[in-house]
Amino acid sequence: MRILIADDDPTSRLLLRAIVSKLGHECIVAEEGASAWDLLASGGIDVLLTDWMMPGIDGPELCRRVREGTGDSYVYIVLTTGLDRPERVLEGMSAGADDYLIKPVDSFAVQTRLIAAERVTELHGTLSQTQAELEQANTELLEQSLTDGLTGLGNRRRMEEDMIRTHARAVRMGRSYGLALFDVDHFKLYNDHYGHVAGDETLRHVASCIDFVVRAGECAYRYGGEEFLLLLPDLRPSDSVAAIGERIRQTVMDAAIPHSARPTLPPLVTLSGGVARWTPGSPLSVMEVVQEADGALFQAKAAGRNCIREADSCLHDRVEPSTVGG
Amino acid sequence: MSDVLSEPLDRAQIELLLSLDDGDGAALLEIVDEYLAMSEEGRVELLGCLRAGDAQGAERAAHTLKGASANVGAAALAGVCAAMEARARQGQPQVAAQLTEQFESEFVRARTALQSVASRP
Repeated sequence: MRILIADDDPTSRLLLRAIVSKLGHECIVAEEGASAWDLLASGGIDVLLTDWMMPGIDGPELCRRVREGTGDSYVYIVLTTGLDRPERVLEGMSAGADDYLIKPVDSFAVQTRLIAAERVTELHGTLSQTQAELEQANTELLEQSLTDGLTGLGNRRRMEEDMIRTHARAVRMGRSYGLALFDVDHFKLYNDHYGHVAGDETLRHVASCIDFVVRAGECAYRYGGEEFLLLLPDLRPSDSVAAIGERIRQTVMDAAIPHSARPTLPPLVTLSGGVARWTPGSPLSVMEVVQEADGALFQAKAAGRNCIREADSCLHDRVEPSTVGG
Repeated sequence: MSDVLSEPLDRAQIELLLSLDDGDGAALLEIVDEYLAMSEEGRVELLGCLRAGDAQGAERAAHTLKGASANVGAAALAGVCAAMEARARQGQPQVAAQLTEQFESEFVRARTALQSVASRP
């Protein structure tokens, strides 16, 4: 173990250092409380053997500081004190000491304390490691619970949470946001022709195309089946949701995933998309904006697929772009 | 004046100090050397505080000397220091000063004994 000895008396420091070293532990010394605290704050100390009475920061104050600290590892504290002040033992233990030693200390007494110290610090080490593993597992589980297992995009649950948050934020901050809904064209025919395993692979491929176009702050979700949703918070008046939708449609086209079973050209997997926009002052709820995008998607399908259509909210927005007063 | 002169050094503590290394007495020598240097300073400090009626200073100086003396086995001197510390703590440095003569005699006995321990080959 790494043991810090804090004592203003040089003979006590020498005596404790000799005892601790002989017991096979690494030993560092501090001549008063302030330098002991500096060493403790830099970490890596398993046991603190501290005198009660020191100039500046005394033993009990050192105990309190260590216990108030947020260090990962546990410091086992043994307070050394004279036999004539038994009431100090209680005060020291209350301040955070684990045990005490009566001066002058002897090897046997130090050895017994260090055995307990080793057990307790090991236990604390195991505990904090287990806690860290649990926290990690929790983080992973939370991430999994919000992720679509097939595509790795956000799932419905994350999408709903993000949409509510984005809408509330847009209302509060007076910002616009965009929504795009995509559907893989003739996907049922694809599955019938190539099989569901290939169908899953294609959904993954399309998802990665969408993910590739998405910028920081934007988020893509698997809406269900072969449908995907893109959420674009903090749109500027000059940002075109349709242009972003178009870029995604083009990226999927460029991936050139064969789809020979479809009745129309090209013989590739393609996307249809509908986009909508919420602007400050709009009475629409976020679900109504989704419905708008869904309506635009229906129009894209009706127009022959492999294209992007805008809901009225987008067109209206472009006819009357926001102006900065001045 | 105590009528029975006790041993100035506690044998058990000296044995402990001797056991702290591989038997060559290096640890004992190092601690005794340190004590011989610091105890003289401590004595000057303690007597100065007593003369000045500085109770807090006397308490601290007596406390340090008490601990260090006990470490090197100078139990009788540590006992006198403890008594002086207790009196100074009660805000009675003049009562503590009454122990000065006893302190001086134990101080000399302890140092003489330690010097002979330290000079032993």
